[in-house]
Amino acid sequence: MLEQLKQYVEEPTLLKIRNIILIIVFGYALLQLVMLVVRRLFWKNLKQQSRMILSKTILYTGFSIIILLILKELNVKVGAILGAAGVVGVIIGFASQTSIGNIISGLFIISEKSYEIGDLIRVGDKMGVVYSIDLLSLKLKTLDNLLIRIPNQTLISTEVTNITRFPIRRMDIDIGVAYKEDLGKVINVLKKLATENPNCLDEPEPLILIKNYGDSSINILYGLWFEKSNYVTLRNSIMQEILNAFREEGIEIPFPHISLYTGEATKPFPVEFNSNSK
Amino acid sequence: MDLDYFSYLKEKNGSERIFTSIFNQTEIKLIMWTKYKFEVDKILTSKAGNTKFWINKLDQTWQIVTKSVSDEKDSESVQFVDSLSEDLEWDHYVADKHTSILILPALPDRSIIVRPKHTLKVLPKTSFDFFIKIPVWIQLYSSANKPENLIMEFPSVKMSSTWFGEPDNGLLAYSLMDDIIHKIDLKSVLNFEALCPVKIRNESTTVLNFDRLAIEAELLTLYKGDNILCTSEVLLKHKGDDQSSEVQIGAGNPKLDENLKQINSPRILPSKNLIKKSFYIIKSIAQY
Repeated sequence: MLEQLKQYVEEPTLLKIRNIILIIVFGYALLQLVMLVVRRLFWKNLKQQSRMILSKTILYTGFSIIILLILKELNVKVGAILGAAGVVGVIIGFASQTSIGNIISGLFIISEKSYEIGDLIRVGDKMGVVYSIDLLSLKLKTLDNLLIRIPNQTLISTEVTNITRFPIRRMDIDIGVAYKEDLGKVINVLKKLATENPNCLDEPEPLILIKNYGDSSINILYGLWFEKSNYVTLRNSIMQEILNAFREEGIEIPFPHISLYTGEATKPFPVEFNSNSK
Repeated sequence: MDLDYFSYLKEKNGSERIFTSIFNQTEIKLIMWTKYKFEVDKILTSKAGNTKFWINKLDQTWQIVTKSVSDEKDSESVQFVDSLSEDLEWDHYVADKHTSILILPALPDRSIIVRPKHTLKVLPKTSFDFFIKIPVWIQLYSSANKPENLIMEFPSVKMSSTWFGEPDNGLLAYSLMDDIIHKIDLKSVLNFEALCPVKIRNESTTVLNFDRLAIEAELLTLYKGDNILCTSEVLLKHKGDDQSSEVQIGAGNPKLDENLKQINSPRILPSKNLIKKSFYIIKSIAQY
């Protein structure tokens, strides 16, 4: 078969094809081997974010070397190509300033380490788990399983809240109680609920703050510390427990209402029947 | 009968058998921590702390239920019954065909934060000895104490979680609401509680305000005597508020009872000296 091929293609060309195939096969195999060794040696101690950066660096470098070797085999002058690439790069750079801005912003984001893959973050009105941090954008997986792509340039100039950065968090609940209630009793009930709820941490102690005198209620801020993974369990349990405890203790959570007076609070509101009205 | 640990240390040179003789006078029996062989159609039932548990063996499957009961913390001896009066939702564990189960105590999987009822002030160059009672976890092994044979484990007493340190950098731990014990009263030590001997040495030149203490239970070995469970001894050297404390875990049996034998190994093997911030002087955490 090789003899038949030789009729159509010259021998040096055949050798080049063979060499290119060998470079691709062995280069790819070597790259996979390097990845395997790196995974075995370092993977366990690395965070998901670092793993992604390391694997991408190895793969991009490896593929670049393979391409350069193939070009060399084809007797293409790499120096000339790189020079041309520089000129082309400048042209492309001017044409795609946004993309380059995104790449540079991406590098800053990665080095800043404000958030990593797996963190729950809030960007503007969007909240989700960091799915990937790429050269041009950040992919966010929302809690209802949608994928949002946010350009790195937008991220670097926007306020980003990392919700799960620290192991513990505080859940703030606003509670309103009627003006007639004994606030000491209300505080004791809230303290007891925090002590008895297994998802609420004993320390830091819960924050109970009488915030202000509202239109219809005295407003209290109830801040409970919890392990970040227990958010849903704590929220669901404590909301029920507050309601039940207040019902048992006869503490009223008032709905918004307006009291009308005719100048003096002690006098009843005068009602006059008009006999002419139909 | 009471014995001051301090007195014990003083008298230790004269007689090392003081604790043994005291233990023998009590009626506490550690009957739970052993191997039980299952007969056909028999269900094992017991209680430790405020957790009740039931175990059943069906061919290759262990059926286990644990249930927290809110009544008083105590323990019930292990019994085999023919049937149950209540409906239980069993968890199923496929294991080997061994028909025996080993019930062992273990120390909690997180550190324990001890909060004395009153802040103690330890003067410079002073040592202070005391005990804490740690509620143990219950480990169930199929036939033998090997890691691969562990079926499940659960706490005998559900302790509340707490945080030790600053909100951005600290340690998730269990909160121990019991006070520290200056004198051992064996009648007050239940068989699901392990005594942990602690010595604090204030090596600094300032008074140590002792209001929180983190005991890394995962690093302690658990020992069993004739009538008591106890842990390795813990020595904490305080060298100043701005420096980390040095923690030393006693190697070998604690010198409480000569009949103590190791019953469970530490969850994490300790290094010889552990530098840890073990004391925590309450700092006002910005809460708003």
